[in-house]
Amino acid sequence: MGIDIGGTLNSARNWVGERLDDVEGAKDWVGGKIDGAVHSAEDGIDGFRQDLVQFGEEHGGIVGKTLAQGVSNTIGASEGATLAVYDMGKGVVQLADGAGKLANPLEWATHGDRNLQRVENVGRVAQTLDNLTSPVAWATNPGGNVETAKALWNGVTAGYQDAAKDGDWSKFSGRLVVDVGSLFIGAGEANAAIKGTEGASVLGRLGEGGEAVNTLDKVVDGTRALETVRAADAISPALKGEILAIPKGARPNPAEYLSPSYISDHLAQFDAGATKFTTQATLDKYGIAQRDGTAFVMPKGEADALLASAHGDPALLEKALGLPAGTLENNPLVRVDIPNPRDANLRVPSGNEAGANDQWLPGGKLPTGNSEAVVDAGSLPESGYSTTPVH
Amino acid sequence: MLVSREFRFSLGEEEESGRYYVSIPVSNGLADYEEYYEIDRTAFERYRVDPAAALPFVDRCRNREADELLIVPPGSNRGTAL
Repeated sequence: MGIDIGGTLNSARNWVGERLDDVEGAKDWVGGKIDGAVHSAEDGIDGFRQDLVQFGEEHGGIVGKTLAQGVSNTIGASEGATLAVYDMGKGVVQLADGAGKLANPLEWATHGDRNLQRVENVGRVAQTLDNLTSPVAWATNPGGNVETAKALWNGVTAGYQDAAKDGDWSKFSGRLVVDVGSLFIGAGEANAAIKGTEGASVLGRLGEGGEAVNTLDKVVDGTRALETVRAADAISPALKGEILAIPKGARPNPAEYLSPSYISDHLAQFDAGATKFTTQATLDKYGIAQRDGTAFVMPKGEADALLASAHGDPALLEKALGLPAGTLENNPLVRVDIPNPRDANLRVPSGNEAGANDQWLPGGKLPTGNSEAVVDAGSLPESGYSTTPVH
Repeated sequence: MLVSREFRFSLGEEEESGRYYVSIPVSNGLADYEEYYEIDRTAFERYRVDPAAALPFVDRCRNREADELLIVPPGSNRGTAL
């Protein structure tokens, strides 16, 4: 199983980019002409995805088909996300005064890296979008906001309807992330979030003072949301089923079915530290490691968020952690923080670890959507971690 | 009270009810905690003197074959034995 999923995906993206470059001449056209070019490209990449699945089946039997389907679904999610931004771009253009200054929506949507400078120019339009979530704006200009909402709704829902009609749920999910994210961070910012840190720096210039920091936080959240969907799509349900059917102890190394970029991105979530929870009694009796010396950990930020959501209430903590009721009544919960988890061989779990239960899923995600990794906690010196009661 | 790190289980007696138990560490991926299985006094004394004698029962607990003896019902995300 040595397929380079990341490389294949990049090839597909380049293929789409070239396809869109082919319609460079159409950029002076308006409305339907641009729509036609984009949707021609959409049809093209959908065809490519189908061809990829067929190729996988012909050359790799069931496994090849399963892997190819996984790649196809990943492309679908990315494609859906791009098209959603395009659709929102149409809405923005319809709203903007002097829309011509924004160049054309095709390039804005599909070559965001070339248009980051233009995103700055859309700041005023982004402000219009922000008004949708402002009670003051609704009170002072309800008519304008209604028109804004209508324009956006018309621009976005058509794509959903097409994806749903075709049963292409991976593309649907890509749209969903962008559109839901845009409710919080705005259309232009959603596009920049997709383009990564370069976009974030531009947004930093868009905002001012604390607002800029807030905007960046939102962009980071949006990026994470995108990664969540991509992660969910990185392994097809069929491949997940195959891996889960393999007895614990014989499951493959995640590097055999996850791309290097996926693994790198996943583990980067732990660069700010890794955390695990345990009861005080369990810690006192058995330490922080399982019997095979490993320990499952979550990103420190996710642990912080989980604790914040429980407000120190033991009953809420039990519920959030899925613990039996009453577990924490006379047995405090302790957080174990590992500031440098890479020193303890941080890795994506294989499912062979002692702590991998029947809820374990391939890909480093819990059923709740939380991220997980595994470390060799048994080899950590006491100076390599800290323990803190949390209630 | 006895803790066997070697065999990864512990013996104890509930303060309020006086019930004897075997506990095993489990993890659900989010947290490590313990499950408690009720045993009688005879078993408690036997396991306390000879911890290895408890292993067949501990293995049954780990394999969820002694759930009728659980003192606290599992939560929404039941852990697996560590």
